[in-house]
Amino acid sequence: MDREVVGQSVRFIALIFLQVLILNNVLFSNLFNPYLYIYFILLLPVDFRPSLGLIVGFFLGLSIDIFSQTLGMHAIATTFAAYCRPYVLTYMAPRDGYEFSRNPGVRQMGWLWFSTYAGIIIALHHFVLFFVEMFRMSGLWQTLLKSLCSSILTLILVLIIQLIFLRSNRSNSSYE
Amino acid sequence: MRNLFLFLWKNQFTVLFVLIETIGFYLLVSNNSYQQSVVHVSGVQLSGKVYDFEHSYKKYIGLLEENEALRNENALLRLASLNGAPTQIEEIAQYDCIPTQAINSSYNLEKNFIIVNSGSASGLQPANAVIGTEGIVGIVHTVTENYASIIPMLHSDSKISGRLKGTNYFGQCKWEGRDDKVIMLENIPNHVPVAQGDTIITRGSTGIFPPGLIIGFASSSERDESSGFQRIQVNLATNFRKINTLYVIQNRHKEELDSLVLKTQEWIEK
Repeated sequence: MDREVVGQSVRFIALIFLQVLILNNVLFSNLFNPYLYIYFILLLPVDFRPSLGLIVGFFLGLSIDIFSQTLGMHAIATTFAAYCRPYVLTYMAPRDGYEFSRNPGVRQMGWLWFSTYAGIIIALHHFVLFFVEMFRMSGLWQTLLKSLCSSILTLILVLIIQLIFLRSNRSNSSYE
Repeated sequence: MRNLFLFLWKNQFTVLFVLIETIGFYLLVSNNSYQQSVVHVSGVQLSGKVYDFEHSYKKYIGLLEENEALRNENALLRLASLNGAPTQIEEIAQYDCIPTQAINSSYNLEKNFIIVNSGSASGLQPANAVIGTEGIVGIVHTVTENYASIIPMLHSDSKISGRLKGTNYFGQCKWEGRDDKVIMLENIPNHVPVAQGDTIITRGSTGIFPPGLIIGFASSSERDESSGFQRIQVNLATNFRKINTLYVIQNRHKEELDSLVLKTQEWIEK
């Protein structure tokens, strides 16, 4: 349990720094803005308390907001993603339920399941984020296009990280 | 009541979600100027539509009184043109005048507002001056296509340069938030004699108001020996409880004046 908490905290901080120090500065097109920090919400344990997830999501988003001077924007989107996660998990539950209380990763659930699950939550998060950023109905098509492009890029990054940890876990079976 | 708590407890996840998102939106709107302006503009648009609807029913009630005021003003203008004197508004062709009508206003808040039923379609711009039939009223703040919000003198942020008529002494007019009929004129030196009923007029220093429009009439003054300046209590010429017909005044030379002031400031700072 303690080891789990430490691992989650390390991931929380590492993802914030990765986002604000590197990914926020990667600007090769206005359409592609990866927000990889949502990976933290994806990998919360399946039986993580939903209400606690909302609070964690809010503070994760708020931390990103503080570093990027967009107070509220990421907090709203990440809280929304944390709100949707339990419903997505219930909807995508295997026929005999989740047999473990571990992280929903590729190792436990397979590539297809994980890509679908991650794709849905990333798309929801990105859409809310860009919608709040635009803040009006008239730019809806641009918001949709932007969230689609950015979601694909974030999903690719998430899968790459999974791949890296899947490889390294073969030799040493610690947390990812 | 018990059922309400039971319902909230059963849906605690969603209740918590709504609560946290409310905090998020509060942070968003209070800290990001773009989102703030979107909320503000759509607020003006929405309330404009609602009050326009209300106004279309209410305007008949005050018709008699309004006619009277307009007739009086007409008479004054006619008199002025007969005598060949320049009228208050058409003093120089430098100024444009757009008539409009207030559809909603307040006078009992700390930050009051007025909504009028003309907007950018009629040529209104932010920072235009607004005057009534008796005296000045305020400054245009937000403009949408068909409506505009006005910051009246009865607003804690409102500052208007006023001059004591007949002298060259000027000071700042500030509203202290208590009485909707009274405004304070500050920074007039103690030695300047002020009598009850002296007229306070605009100075026109920022180019928003034309100089010489009536703000109000002095009612009393208190001298402050320590600072050497007196505070003059001014009875406003405009009755903010009966705001109706208004005129928006545009200064064609405003940009020119602004750029000159800016250049001068840059030059002074060097």
